[in-house]
Amino acid sequence: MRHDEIRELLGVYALDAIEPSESEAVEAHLSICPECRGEVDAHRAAASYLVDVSDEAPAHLWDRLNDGIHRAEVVEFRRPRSKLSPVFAVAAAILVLAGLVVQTIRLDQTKVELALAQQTTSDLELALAAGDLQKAATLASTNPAATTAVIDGSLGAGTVIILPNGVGFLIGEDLPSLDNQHTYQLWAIQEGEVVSAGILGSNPGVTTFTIERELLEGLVITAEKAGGVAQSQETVVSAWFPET
Amino acid sequence: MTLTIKTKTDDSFLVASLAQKDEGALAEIYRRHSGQVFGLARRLTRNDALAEEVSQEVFLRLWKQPAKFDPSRGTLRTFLLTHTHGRSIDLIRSESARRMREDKENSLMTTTGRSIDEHVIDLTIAETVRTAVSQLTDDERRAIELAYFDGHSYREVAVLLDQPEGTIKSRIRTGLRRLGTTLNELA
Repeated sequence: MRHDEIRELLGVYALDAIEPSESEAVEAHLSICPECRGEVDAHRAAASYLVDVSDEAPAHLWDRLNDGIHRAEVVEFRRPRSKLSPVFAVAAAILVLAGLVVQTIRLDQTKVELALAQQTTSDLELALAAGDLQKAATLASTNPAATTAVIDGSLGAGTVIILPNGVGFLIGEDLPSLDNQHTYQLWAIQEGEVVSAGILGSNPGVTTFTIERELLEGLVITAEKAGGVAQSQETVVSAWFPET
Repeated sequence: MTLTIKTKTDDSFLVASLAQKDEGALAEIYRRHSGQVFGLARRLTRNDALAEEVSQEVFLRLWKQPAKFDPSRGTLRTFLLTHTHGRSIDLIRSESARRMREDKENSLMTTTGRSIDEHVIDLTIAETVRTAVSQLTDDERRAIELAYFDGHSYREVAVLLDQPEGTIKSRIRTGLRRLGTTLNELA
């Protein structure tokens, strides 16, 4: 097929409207012709703007996807970000005004050898891969660049460890057990946006989560119905706001 | 505390984070794009179950093979929608899915059978895209609509519109080029 014949097919190729018998010739040509490849990319970009941006995926699709990526691993899922509800915003503000007990402990970096830190990181990755969150959290706490803090409130306290790369651990063993119809849920506040950082379960142990550390403005815990929620309407039971 | 909604993190950064199996990054990508991925898959398959299957495949593929996304060739949104479209076409051209789709066709056409310009209602970009779409001729718009949203091959479009195949190929290509050019100018 000649170059001009291929070019005539680029529009229908970009829309998957080409005949299968012609597709192979176009793909072979695209592999050697950056100009035509660029045209296909441009066609696809233009077509993508025709897609309705107001559509929403069904709520259970995230759970299905999460199951797919997790299989039987123990790491809890994080739901997509949600806007801060008015109730949640008020509750968070009240907690700030109440002057919650906040303890931030930064380990002295000078006391830890660099080689030891590298070994610890490697061991931590192995522990995470093995699903041993208790060990991973313990190793994380020895990282000199980690932030360790107490997330405290009316029901009890937990310990938060956040590594420079945004991987965090919550040790929630001091939080009282909930009935099996409810779960604790961890939320990160990042530049005013609330991110569900993990479902902790009714009897929290050690959970890992990921946040954008440089944007982090606080962590809060709520008690929610089992399975967690995308947007909380509950009051905050524990919170931590970094010292500025 | 002043609360505002910001989404500063670039899609490319999020995809790069997937290489470290950062589930938070996947959650954010999903939050940003799942609606359009699912919406396009449903528009094509006309079946919620098939649309969910396609959507899951698209995001799982990104999770497993984030390096497949090449930011130099376009946005993550385009990348995801391209795969959504391709996978949906594969499904609807299989016999079993075709039956499921046809069963749903009549009811769907009464509820979601919208034209291209009715598909672009997001307030932030709707006007720009509407303007770009308005630059297309009716013939170009109809050909693109039948191919992109209804999943017809250009030969099928030619039959449906009773036009030569060469004319349909040309209309689709010319229409997409004009659409892209107008969007770039307006942007």
